[in-house]
Amino acid sequence: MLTSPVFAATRDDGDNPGPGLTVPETLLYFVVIPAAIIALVWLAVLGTSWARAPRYRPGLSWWADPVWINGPSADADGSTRSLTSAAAPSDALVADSTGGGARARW
Amino acid sequence: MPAGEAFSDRQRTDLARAVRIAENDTGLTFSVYVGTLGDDTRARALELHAQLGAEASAATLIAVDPGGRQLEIVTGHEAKRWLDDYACGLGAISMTTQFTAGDLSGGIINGLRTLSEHARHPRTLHNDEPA
Repeated sequence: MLTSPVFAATRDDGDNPGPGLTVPETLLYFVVIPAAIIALVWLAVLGTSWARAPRYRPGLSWWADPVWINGPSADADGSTRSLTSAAAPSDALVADSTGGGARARW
Repeated sequence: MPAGEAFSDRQRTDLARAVRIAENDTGLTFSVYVGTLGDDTRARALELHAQLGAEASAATLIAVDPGGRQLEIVTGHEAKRWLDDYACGLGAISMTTQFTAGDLSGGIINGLRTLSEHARHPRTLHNDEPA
């Protein structure tokens, strides 16, 4: 097995070597095409996560606009609306102190 | 980070449906706010609750600050009769459990479910007794 390259130096009967590869052809077949296949697989794996919107991860900063679902002036069907002016606090509205609730951290 | 959408269209639809179901089950108004609440989260949540206007008394506001990792549930005067602070605490636990895992919309939906399950009318004993 180790000596097999030696036999390639002498022609055998019936062998028919084609024309050798030029340097650009060698690069194309052994560098460019494998690299393209690797890139394709890489994109297929990672591309899906790039296409998706950033998702919330606890401990990282929050990036999104405020959302108020079923907030004031929401449509009757309970549709959502984004706050454009982030709902400036109004002095005229006094908080209902007789209510209750809960709070939590995570 | 640049501003963007907090929820996908699918999540928004699910959230709106969860709010609608909770309202149908309880007869109360539910409102969900997801955004920054600032330093005094309770005061900000009360402000937002007051902005619900005439509905505020029978409304329950769920205010989530994902950046500050704070959750505030505010019940109005009327809503508190059906949804006491203990029930709100249970809802808060079920929400923050999922928030910890990074699931904002799922946590809110589960919290709404918990709240609406507990927001039942108090028993009037003389009416509930079998004849």
